Amino acid sequence: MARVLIVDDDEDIRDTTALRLRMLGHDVVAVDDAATARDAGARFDVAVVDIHMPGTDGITLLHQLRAQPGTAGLPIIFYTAHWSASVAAEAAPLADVYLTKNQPMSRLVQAIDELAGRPG
Amino acid sequence: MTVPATEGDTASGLTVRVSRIPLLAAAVVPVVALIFYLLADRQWGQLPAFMPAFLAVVWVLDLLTAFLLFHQYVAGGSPRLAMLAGAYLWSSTVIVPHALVFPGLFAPAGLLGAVPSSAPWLWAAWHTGFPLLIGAALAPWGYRRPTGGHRARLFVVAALTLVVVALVSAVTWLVTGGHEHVTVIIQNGDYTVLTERFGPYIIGANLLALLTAVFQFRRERTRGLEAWAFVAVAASCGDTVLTLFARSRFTAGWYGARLLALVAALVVLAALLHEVTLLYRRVRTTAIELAERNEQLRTANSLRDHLVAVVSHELRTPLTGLSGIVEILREGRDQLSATQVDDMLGRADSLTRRLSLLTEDLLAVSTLDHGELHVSPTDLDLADALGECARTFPRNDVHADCPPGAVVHADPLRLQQMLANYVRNSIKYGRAPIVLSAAVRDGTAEIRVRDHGPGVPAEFVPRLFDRFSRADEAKVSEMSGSGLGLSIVATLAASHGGRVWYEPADPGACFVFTVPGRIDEPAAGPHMAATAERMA
Repeated sequence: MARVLIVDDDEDIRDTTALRLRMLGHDVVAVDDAATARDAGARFDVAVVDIHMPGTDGITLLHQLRAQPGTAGLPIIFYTAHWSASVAAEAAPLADVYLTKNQPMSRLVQAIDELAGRPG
Repeated sequence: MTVPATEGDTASGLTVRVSRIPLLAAAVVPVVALIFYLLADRQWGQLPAFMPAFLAVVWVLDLLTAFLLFHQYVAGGSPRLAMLAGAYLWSSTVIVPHALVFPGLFAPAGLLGAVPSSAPWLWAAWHTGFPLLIGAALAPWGYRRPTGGHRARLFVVAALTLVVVALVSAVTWLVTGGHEHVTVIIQNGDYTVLTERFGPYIIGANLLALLTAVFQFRRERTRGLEAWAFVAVAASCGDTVLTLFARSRFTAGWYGARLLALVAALVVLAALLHEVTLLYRRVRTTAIELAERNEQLRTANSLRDHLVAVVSHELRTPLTGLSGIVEILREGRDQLSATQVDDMLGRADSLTRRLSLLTEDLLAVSTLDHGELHVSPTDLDLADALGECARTFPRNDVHADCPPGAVVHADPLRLQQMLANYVRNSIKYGRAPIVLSAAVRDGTAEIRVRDHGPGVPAEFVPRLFDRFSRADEAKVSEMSGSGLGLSIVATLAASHGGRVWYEPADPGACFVFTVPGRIDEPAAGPHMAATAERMA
């Protein structure tokens, strides 16, 4: 099972997603801010990052993780409710997987399984 | 004074309504004519430069007038404009041979084999054709709408020009090369024969045109160019009568007649230029208005895009949570403790309330935009209302602290909507604890929602209660929330006769709105405090 870091400012989404992944056997840590994610990132197999967060947004966090030794190769899934095509065009090429929140949670689970099982 | 054109004006091709100025000008013409008539026989002597200068000025003015009128006709104006243009084209065309044959201008006896009668005959043709064509332009013929396409109109202009040039050429030949076929009407500068034998016909043609123009005025539908064409006809009449009664060249009457001929040449051109200036102003004004409208549309488009983006985001987020909870409960209920199930159900309730609030906000925006917001204020126990709001956020640290006996006069649903929007805003941007408090003074209840977060940046405070105040900010992180909540609180408070403002707190942010309120004495019960503890 994978070690998954969830970064989302919305408590309900964060906790619900974490609970679902834990029920599937994943080792999950859920945080609501970019700084904690940056510090802890190296310990995880995959990060599920919301784009739309107060303070440091998901795209900025991705750049910070990519630039940081230890997290540069961390697979990142953008998991966002954002609708804007321009944001999607900017964010999708940066992440390993780009998922919008209107898709079923099983799609997120599938992406985590694929990325966690990928040789690093 | 001018006023904007009506549809009828445009349809007739005469776009500027005029005041009484043309009438006054037309009234001055007979006065001037009378003055010169009384001096008509007085010889003032020949001014060598006068005739070429006069003819050149009239030629230029008439040609310009014809050019502008033809252009207006081709651009979709009335056929009357083509006829009026024809009158000025006739005038400017016949002036050319008139100048060529006039003795002493280009040759002592004139060019083109001119005889002494050539110039007065051409003058007669000029002063007959010009008023008759203006009269035809003003005559009440059954014109309704501009007809014919662009090419057809160009054809009409070309045909009119050809006819005018051909007729003038024919007349010119008749009074020069074919002079033996026409009567000698001037001898030694005296044109009594012209006056006595042909004068009545020429004056008759002018009077006919004048009567037509007067008839137009009597119908009280005269507009712009028609009115000034009437002045031109009046001036032409004065010119003709004075010339004929002066009986010989270079008399006071003869010079006065030329003055009136200048007036006839000038007035329609002046009216045209005035009209063009007005149209230019209108075009400029319209262009500015259109630019402003375009800017408004661009802003509206931007706001619409922003609304779609934020609403989509704000809808997707709770829906994602709800679908996740359903998935968890459906597929893993056996793995969950009773506490966890309760927690999931509590979250589902919270997410549903979020969706409900967003829906109410969107409906409120739509209602406000149509000016149909309806509030039904009633007396409410404020402590109960604040407590009710706090209980709708069971997962957040929200406290209510209200003085006993406080009563507000407000719509209960709208009051909860205002409170919920403030609390949602504090949850989103501030930090717990969030405190709902109230103070009542002078018939007004001030209701405060305070958080303990970083507060609102000073530069953002002036726009805090604007709708979509973040619409122009592209930064992803700053596009959270619908951008509607605070503006809706402001509008709802105003609908209760209240207002909103922001107070910086230390630490945190404090949002305030007011509604009518009072303290009921004696205050019943202890000081109420409702606290909704954060659920694990």
